Amino acid sequence: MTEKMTVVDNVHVSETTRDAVQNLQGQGRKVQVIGRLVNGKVELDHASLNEMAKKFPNAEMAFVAVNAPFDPNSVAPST
Amino acid sequence: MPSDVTESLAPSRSRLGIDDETYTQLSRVPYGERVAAVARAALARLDCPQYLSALDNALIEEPPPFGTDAYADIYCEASQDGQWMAVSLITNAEREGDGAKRLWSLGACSDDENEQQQLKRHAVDESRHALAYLALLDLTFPDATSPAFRKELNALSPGFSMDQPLCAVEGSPYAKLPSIDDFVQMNIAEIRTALHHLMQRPALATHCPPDNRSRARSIQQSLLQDELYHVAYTAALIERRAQSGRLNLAELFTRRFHDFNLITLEELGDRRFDCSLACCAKRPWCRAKAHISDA
Repeated sequence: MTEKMTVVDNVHVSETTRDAVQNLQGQGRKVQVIGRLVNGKVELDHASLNEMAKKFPNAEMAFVAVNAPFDPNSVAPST
Repeated sequence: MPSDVTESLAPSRSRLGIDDETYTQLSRVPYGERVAAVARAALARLDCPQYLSALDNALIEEPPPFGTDAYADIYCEASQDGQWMAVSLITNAEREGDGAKRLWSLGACSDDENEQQQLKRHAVDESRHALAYLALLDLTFPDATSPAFRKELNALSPGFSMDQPLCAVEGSPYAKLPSIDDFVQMNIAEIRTALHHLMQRPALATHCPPDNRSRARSIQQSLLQDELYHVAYTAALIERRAQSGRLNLAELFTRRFHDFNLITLEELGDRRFDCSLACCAKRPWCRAKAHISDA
């Protein structure tokens, strides 16, 4: 069975998710992150994105873990 | 020094002498000295003179913004916001998963069995770290995500294990023979990630429900130990390559610190700052930024 989709904060979510979010909001929790995974990447709701933009205008997400080479064009192995 | 320093890096991390006390010691070091301190803590039982010399030179030539009071202050301010902290944990999980795939491809293309195994181990660690960040999310902000979204987030980890055969991820630009440059980039990035862990531990504790703090701290300790191990093994690989190569290691380290410093400042967006007087005196772009902010 395919779940019926709806939109919360411009993000398409299932009705189950929407109900869960409304339930959380009803409990008065301050921290809520709504989003989904699209092609393996996290897409967040506008409220979360706005929060980030408020803290870091014109920024990528700061303070992130980097554990691998950051430039694929590295110096040749033989050098 | 052993003839092959990488051989002295046994899979057992306990041999490196990185323990609970390491966090305490590093967290007491002033921010301005933490980059070098993290590298030296990771190498406490390894002798990598060429690596350390190149690192020290680069820290003078290209002082990293992530080793400054200003960077720590921005983190401290941002992390007081629970919403930001929760998203930060999710983003870190995503980046760990991405990094794991890069390392998996790099390892698959290595023609050196020792390097291949270490890169594989590293990729497995990062794959696990993606889930560790999500566990921190669960412990610190219980029910912050819907069950459906939370379940989706598990897919951020590629789920690598040592039992799986290595194979390059299709289309990955990292499906190539690893070079000393790759290890230098990894080493610098891992140092920054370790620094983030030092700042993250007290920040998360302020949000974490008291009953969950002990488990959260245990995960954070494990993450820090892993990152320091990654600093150590990449330093050892760099040292080995430097012994046999013709490359100017100091120059390479300086160039890559320059690149990663720019990435760090770009991540901060309008919050970028002039990292130090010594840095600004050397770099026109730093002074230019100061003029923009003065305008």
